[in-house]
Amino acid sequence: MATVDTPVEARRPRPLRQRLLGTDTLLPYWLLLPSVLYLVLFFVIPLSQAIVVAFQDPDTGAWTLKNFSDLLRWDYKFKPALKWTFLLAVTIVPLQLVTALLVALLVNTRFRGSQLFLYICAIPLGLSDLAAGLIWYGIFADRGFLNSLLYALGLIERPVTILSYTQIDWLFGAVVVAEHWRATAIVLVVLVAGLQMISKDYLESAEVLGANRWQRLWYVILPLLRPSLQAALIIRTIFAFEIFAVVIALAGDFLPVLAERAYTWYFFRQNLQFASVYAVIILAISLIFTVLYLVFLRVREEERR
Amino acid sequence: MAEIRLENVWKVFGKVVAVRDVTLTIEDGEFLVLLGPSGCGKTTTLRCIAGLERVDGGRVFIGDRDVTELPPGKRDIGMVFQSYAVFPHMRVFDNIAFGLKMKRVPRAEIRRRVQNVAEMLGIEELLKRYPAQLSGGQRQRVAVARAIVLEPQVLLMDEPLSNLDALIRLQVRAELKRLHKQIGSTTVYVTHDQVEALSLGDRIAVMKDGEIVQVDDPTTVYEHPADVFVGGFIGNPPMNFLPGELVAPKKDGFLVLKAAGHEIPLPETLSRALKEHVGRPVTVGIRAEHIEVLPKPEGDALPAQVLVVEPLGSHLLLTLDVGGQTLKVMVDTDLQVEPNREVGLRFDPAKLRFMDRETGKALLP
Repeated sequence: MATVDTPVEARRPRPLRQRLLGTDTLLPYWLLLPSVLYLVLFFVIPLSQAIVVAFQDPDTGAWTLKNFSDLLRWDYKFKPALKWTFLLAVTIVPLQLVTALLVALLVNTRFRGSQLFLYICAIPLGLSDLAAGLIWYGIFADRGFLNSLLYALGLIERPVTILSYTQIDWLFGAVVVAEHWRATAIVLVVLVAGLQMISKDYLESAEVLGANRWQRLWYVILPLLRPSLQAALIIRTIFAFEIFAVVIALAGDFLPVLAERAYTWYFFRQNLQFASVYAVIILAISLIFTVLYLVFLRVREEERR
Repeated sequence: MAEIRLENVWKVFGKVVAVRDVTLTIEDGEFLVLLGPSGCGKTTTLRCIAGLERVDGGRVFIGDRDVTELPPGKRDIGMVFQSYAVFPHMRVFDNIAFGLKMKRVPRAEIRRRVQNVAEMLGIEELLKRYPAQLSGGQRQRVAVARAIVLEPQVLLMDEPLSNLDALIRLQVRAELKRLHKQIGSTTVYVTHDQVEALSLGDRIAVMKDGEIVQVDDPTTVYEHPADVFVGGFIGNPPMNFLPGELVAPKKDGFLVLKAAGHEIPLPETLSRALKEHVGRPVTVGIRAEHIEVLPKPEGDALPAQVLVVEPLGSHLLLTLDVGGQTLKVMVDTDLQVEPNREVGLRFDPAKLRFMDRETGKALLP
């Protein structure tokens, strides 16, 4: 009586995990699913809706550029907002890059307590931008910390008004200082990580070959840091064009910026079209800069380590 | 070209003494190998010569210049790193030209000198490539070219072959030796590979625990190790060591070595040289290839039992038992042996190395 045995393997039920999730090759996709859902729900859908609204006639639903031309005609603050947003971005981003690079190089010397120093520098990362704006409002206000300090030191006799719509340059400066304080740390963290990836053999090799400090920075460190610089610049530039809460806290709408215009049109004027047009403009600017960075700071395949 | 002089050099990292009071003169044009196990301080010694480490004591001279306080770039040295450290973002040409560019050499001269060195190393076809497009051996050559294009007085190499495949390593090793003859710069070469050290060095400095144990030409280091450590570190298989005792017999003046349960009479010269050590416990060292194996224990040959037979291609490596002690012996492949067989051993007592059992130091120079 010979019976053919089924192999033991085949008789055993598949593990629960496999039955629920499919084969192991599908697992990565299951793990990606939550973040993909999140992005679709809160970014892709609102974004496409905004694009649709921006390019549609609100009455007829026809595709049109009318919203853009109307905005140019009616919103007298569009051009100032564009100007100030650009000026803030081109002032803040390079300033942050230089500061972050200097501090990153300092941290990378691994001096005693450099890790602690890095953590302290990174504290503003944990603050919301509105909170950061309010902190600096507390410093720059007429009866704020700065005036109190100067008064206590006997440098002034009465409070100096820093934040006033009559001095838009001062408002601009205050925003630059606050943003610089708030958002440089993200660049710093990216650059420190990048510096730590550069083998010290390259630097010692350059040193033996007679390169001084500056030459090592210029010819070895900066080129090898390019991927990190690229990442940091993309992140910072995109966020710089979205600047909002710090400006609101320090300058209200006396210093108009693009995101503030979108907010104003949406909440105070209930104009979904103009708000969407602003959103599309911010998106377009961010895209253009990202592409520029990707092209000009790219590391070609053959240059990789 | 210049000699290198280390005078009482110390280097300490925290509580670890990496280099302990090293004094060493490397002659002009010499190829000196710093050899030792990992952590012995050989690389740190090299980095002290390069100026990549500040010495904590002592002085470093290159030629007649005291370079102790000079940065690496001002010491007139070239260095090849273990990782090669070829800049990945520069083409081969710019890598080799880097040092010349830093020294603001005119462009035309840079081109000429890079071309010369590239030809010398056979990489002139690769000048336009990026390092990622090169093989390990080619990258290593770029690193060497970059170091020698400045025509430095001193060339320092830190395990330059350790990242290469075994086959290419042999080839590059021979090339390095030829290159040294050609350019003649004083060379210090760090390795943990004793075969590399023996094949390349004019002299070998063996290091252990931050100290130099022995500096001699390869033959002397191999045949007359200064202590048990050197004998055990150099050679494959390492030197055999047996505990023994020197005794003075009653009749003639010759000494007898008692080891592995046997008495081995020593010849006249050796007896005279070792006379003062009679009665002292010693360690006897002998190289695997200095022992002759007879198919049968006969006459005055020491009886031994074969434990393991390992054919190595060109030779057989035998593991033998002699009076309870294990010996490694290298014999020709035509010897008929198999495990458990009784054989006889014969050797020239002049090839024995006598060390103090306690300190491990050789009793005779």
